[in-house]
This record gives sequence, structure tokens and C-alpha cells, in this order.
Amino acid sequence: MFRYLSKIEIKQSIIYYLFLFLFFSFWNFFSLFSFYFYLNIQNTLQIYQDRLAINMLIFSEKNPLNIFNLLSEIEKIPHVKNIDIVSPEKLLEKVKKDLPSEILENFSEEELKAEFPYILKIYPLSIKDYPALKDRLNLLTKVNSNIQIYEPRFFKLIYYAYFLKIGFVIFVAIWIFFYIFFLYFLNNLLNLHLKNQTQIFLLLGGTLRKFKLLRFFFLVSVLVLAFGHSSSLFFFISDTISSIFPFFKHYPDISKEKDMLYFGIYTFFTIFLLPWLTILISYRNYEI
Amino acid sequence: MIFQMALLTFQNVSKIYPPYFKALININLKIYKGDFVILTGPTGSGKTTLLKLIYREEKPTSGEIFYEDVPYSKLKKKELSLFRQNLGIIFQDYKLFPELTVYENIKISLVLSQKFVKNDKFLIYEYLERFKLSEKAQKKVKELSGGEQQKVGIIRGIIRDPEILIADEPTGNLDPSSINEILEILKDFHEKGKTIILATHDPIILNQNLGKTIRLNRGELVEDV
Repeated sequence: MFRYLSKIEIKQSIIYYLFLFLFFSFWNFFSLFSFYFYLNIQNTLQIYQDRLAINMLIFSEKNPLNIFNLLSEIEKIPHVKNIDIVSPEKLLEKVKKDLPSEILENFSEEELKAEFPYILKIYPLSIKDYPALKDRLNLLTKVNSNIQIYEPRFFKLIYYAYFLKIGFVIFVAIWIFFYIFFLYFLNNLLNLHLKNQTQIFLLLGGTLRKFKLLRFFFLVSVLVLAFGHSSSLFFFISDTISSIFPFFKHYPDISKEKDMLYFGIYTFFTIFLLPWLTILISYRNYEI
Repeated sequence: MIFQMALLTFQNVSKIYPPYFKALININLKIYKGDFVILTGPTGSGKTTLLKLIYREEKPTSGEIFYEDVPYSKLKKKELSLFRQNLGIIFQDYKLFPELTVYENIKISLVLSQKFVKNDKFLIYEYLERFKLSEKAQKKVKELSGGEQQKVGIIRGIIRDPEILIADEPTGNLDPSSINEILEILKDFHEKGKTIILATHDPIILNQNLGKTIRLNRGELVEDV
């Protein structure tokens, strides 16, 4: 029976299946690449976020007790994760080798230390806390002219990249919906195209179950082929990118169980579950 | 007196096609096992609609149809499919699978009927031989003439040896000798105790006085003889 039904389905619908192959090749390739880029950007951000601090420079402060009091004030701000103190001594030690030899010859170490500020490296709880924290710290600079604030370079770029996460979630939702809609649309198109044959089959005593199973078999076959094709292409290109830019990690990493689990879930949803669900929904009104 | 339960019962059945075309109006009818029912009437009188209601291609707008004592509306999908497997339907518009061969079209019907046939290939060719179609067994149905397609439709309906044979204008495209051939087959069928419901306005068939005649006119049952 399946042989005859396959003949009916394939002969009349081959062009639609070809279309599905092209669509899914593109969709899967783009999906994998989106995840690859997104995870790499997030990874880079994470590394940067841990080092991201607002530097507060305190000049002309000789009394460590005042610094301690200021520190206590800042620690009360809710956006603060922790604070590192760099004393003028430490700072001098760090930059000594970069200072011109004339300066080192003409000034004593004590004189140089007097010119150097205390640096408070203030780490926010997360990147999104950064602007609020900066506003609060700016208030301190207004009441004390010896205090200056420096933000890290490229901060704005990093700050906006952080919000990519929310954008990405929205994109993923739309992208999945687009795929579901396409599958539903394709199934409906196939159903309409084969409507007469389906009805004859039902009137002869057949059931839609066979049609659904057969459609599932064809869809899965085409999707597996397209998946294999586009995934190979993705792995080849992502490998090339990662070999050029070593900080770009492989996603999914075959050696990591967690990566493989997510990849498996993605495959199961896109190749098996969503097609089956759309087949069931599209056949709702075909029973006679 | 032996009480015989009707095989099919129409109880106040009406069918209205949207928006307001009344195809059948308040039909009350009983068909018993072994009946040879001739359904006749002018074009558009509701014959095809009545047959469609029997094999459930259409549902009545009001009223109920019973198979034995089971209302159609209570039949589950599986039961409906089993019921259809016991029907042999010859459609007015043939309803064949155009992409399949003559042989495959007939084989599908046989497989779906779920009846055990020892040598189905032999049986199919026997019928094809009888209808002078054996040479075209491997041709696609869409390559056949209208008359030949009709014959394939008839073979498909009768080869599964159904309990009820429903035929909608089965002789429309056939020459007189083929009509007589079909009539012989139908008579044989009837003699085996099968139920036949035949919609026609072919005078050759009507003059044969084969069984109970039901006349429809503008959706109403006007004569039940």
C-alpha cells in the first residue's frame, strides 16, 4: 500500500520536496551560524565583563583613612560587586619601567608617589548595572574635584552587545515561528495538491494515518538530507573561521556532552517533532 | 412473520448545500439486505447526493442515517473506515488515481478491503480480461479513454466483493454490449445476496425491472416501488 501511496505523493509533489530541501538547507545553515556567532560573542563578552571596571582616580589624598571612608560609601551602592584598590606605590611599581629615564633621575620615588593617585577599580554586578553605577560615582566627582572617573575603552560597544542577548531570544522565537509556519504552509500546499487522491483513498476505506506516516517519512528524509548537507557546510566554514580567529570556539563542540545534548534537542525538534506536529495540524480538516 | 432489520435507514434526511440549494428534502427510506435498489430521476434530482450520503462523502444537514441500527453520526473514524471497506463504490466521475496504472488502481481497492484473496494478481487479470482491458493493465489510467476509465472504476468497485455495491451512473460512457456485460455482473452479484444501490437514468437498465425503484424529483422522494 505504502508503495502506491508513495508513488502518488512523489510524482505529484516532487517539486515541493525539492523546495523544502532548499529552504531547510538555508534555514539550518543560518540557524547554526547564528548560534555560532551569538555564543562566540557572548563568550567574548563574558571574558570582558569579568575585567570591566570603572576606574576612580583619587588625587592628592595623603590620608588612607579618607580613602577607607570613601570605599565604605561606595560599597553601599547596590550595583557594586567588588572594589580593588591600587595604591600610588603599586601604581608606581607597575608603570616604573615605562617612565622616561629623565623623570626617574630628576624626581625621587616619594615625589613621584605624591603625584600618583589612588585608583579604585569598581566592578559592577553586571554590564547592565554599569550606567547606574557610573551616575552614582559621577555625583562624587561633582563634590570633590580631586576625584576623576574613567570608563573602559569600547564600553559603549560592549554595553550594546550585552543587549544582543534579548534581541537574540526574540530573533530565535521569530526564526522558529518562521520555520513552523513554512512547514505548515508546505503541508497545506501538499494536502491541497493531493486532496482528490486523499479523498478517493478515504472513500475506499483507507485512513489518513497512512498518509500522515508517509508524509512524515518523506519530510524527514528530505530534512535529514538537507540537514546533513547544510550542517557539513556549516562545520567546514566554522572550522575555517576558528582556525583563522582562535578565540572563536567551535559550537557545537563534539567533545562536550552539554553541547551535544543541545544539538540533539535542536535536531529532534527541527527534523522530527515540528514536522510531525505540523502534519497533524494540517490534516485536521481532511477527514470525510 | 420474520422481522428483518433494515441495512440502511434514512430518517427525515435533508441536505442543503450552502447557501440555500436544497439537494434532498426530508427523505425517509429503508434499504434491506439483498435489495436491488434503482435510484432514478432527472439530472439534479438528488441521486448522487443521496449516494454520497450513504458512503459519507457528505453529511446530512438534518436527519439521521442508520447502518443497521447504528447512526452514522456516532460512527468513529475507524468504524467508518471499516464500513467503507465493505462498500464497493462506482463513482460517476470514476475517481481513479491518475498517476497509477490500471493494475495498481484495482490492487489498491483490493488491499484496502482487507479481504483475503489467494492470488490477487490472477483475480485482477481475470476481471481485466472480462472487460477487455488486460493489455492495458500497466498503462496509466490517465492515458485511457473515458469508457475504459469507467470500466476500471467498475472493476475496482466489484473486485472486493462488497456487501453493498453503490453505483452512480455506471454505464454513462459505455457501449450497449458493455452495458449488458455490467448488467450481468450486477445480476450475479444480487443473486449472491448482495445489496445493490444503483443510480441511473439509462433506459436499458430501467427497462430490465431489476428491483425496487426509487424516484427522486427536485430532492424529494416521489415514488418508492
